[in-house]
Amino acid sequence: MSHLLWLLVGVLGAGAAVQVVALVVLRLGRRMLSRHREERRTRLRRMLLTALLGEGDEARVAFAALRARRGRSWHEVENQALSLLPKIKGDARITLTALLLERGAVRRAGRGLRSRRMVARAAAAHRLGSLAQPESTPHLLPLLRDKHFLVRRTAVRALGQLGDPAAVPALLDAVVRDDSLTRDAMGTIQRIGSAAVDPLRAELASVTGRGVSTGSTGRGGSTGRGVSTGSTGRRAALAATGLGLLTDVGSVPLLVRVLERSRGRLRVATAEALGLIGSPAAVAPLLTTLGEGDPAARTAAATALGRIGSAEAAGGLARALDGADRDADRAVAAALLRLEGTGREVLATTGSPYAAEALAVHRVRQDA
Amino acid sequence: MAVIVVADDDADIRDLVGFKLEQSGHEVELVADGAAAVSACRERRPDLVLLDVMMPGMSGLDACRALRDDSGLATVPVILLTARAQESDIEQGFRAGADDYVVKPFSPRELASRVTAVLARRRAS
Repeated sequence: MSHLLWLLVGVLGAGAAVQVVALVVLRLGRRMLSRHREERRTRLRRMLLTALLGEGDEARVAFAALRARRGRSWHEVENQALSLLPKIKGDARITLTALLLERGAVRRAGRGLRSRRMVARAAAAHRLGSLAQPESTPHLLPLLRDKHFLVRRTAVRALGQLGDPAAVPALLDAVVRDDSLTRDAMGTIQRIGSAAVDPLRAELASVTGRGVSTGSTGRGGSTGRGVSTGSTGRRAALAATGLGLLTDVGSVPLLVRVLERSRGRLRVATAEALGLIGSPAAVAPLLTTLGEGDPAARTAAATALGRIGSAEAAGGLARALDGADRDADRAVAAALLRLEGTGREVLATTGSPYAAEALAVHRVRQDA
Repeated sequence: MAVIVVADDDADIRDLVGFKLEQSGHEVELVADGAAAVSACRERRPDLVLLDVMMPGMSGLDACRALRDDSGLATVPVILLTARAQESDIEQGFRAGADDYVVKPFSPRELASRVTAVLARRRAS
């Protein structure tokens, strides 16, 4: 019996010892592998940086060595190159882009867009964005309808890197379908820059002919583009915001026209855009909006007048401190405060509690 | 040759800037955040500091202010490196005591030229 017991203990002990040895070997192996990978990555990074930023023969030799890489070895180069690409400009970017295009990086990324794996599609969109080739726009646009938010957002950002104004209408549609893309889409429109002005103006001008906008999404009948008049109003509101963010002074007459004819969300967005642009030409129409009934439009108009900062608005702002709506009154008081001397004088003479509040905040800020 | 401290939380940027500046003949110390940049500056007494604005923990702007408040480092030139290119951001950088501003994405060659110009200005003064 005792022999059997000792045998059992021996077998268990030997098993445990084998397990410990295997674990140690596994850990050492992993550590060596990880160190080997890190060394390889560092060597490759050095070669890439030499090819991009080096001088003379040294750079030419490194560039030739990179071009000669094939298979998995090239994929490592491509991954590192695509990581560096969005962070540089000038000669280094031109050299790196040329290398990646020559080795078919766009084609490979294009294949990734059709992957069934969400992460692969997002990675492919990211790569196309980094490579910033305008011909990639039509390949990225379908991703704005992808069922996964991550893919849609990556596509929106990639379109910003491409800077192609042809993407603007599809970007507006994407935000109408999914509000949570608003910030990224507006960032992309800003990256596209002045080239985005024409498509944005066209979008906004399309509602002026109708003379009305519901300003809310999902209502109304369908149009030639297959969107409801509600979503048309939403698209126009986004276009107004885009023009405001681009501070496009040339769009002021169009924005004023839309401000005068629209209501709801579109009117609010138009007033905000006029404030962002800061043109004194918008003061009179904004004062008219301030004198009307819609509290959201009045609040936006007051904030815009504060941003424009014209002393001409002081009288109209003072009359608007009528206690009809708390948010509008607060915005009016804040706008008067932004007019500095003239505005503060007006605030001191009105009996509005919001004027007193604004002056108190101003005093606290001054003391700080 | 100058001693330059470079702080950026992005390893790619550290590699790019470090390589370019070393290639230009400078000695470069690379760190990943503002606090590490301040302590590296106290230890190395560099000729120039390059700071990314948006870093975890202590930002580049806070690090710049900390350097300006340190009597031994108050005159060390600081170049800010950032993706934020709005006028107000640039103004904020200069108010924090920066000497120059480089916007990302950047041209490594242009960055090296700016470093040379800032160092030359410092030597001349």
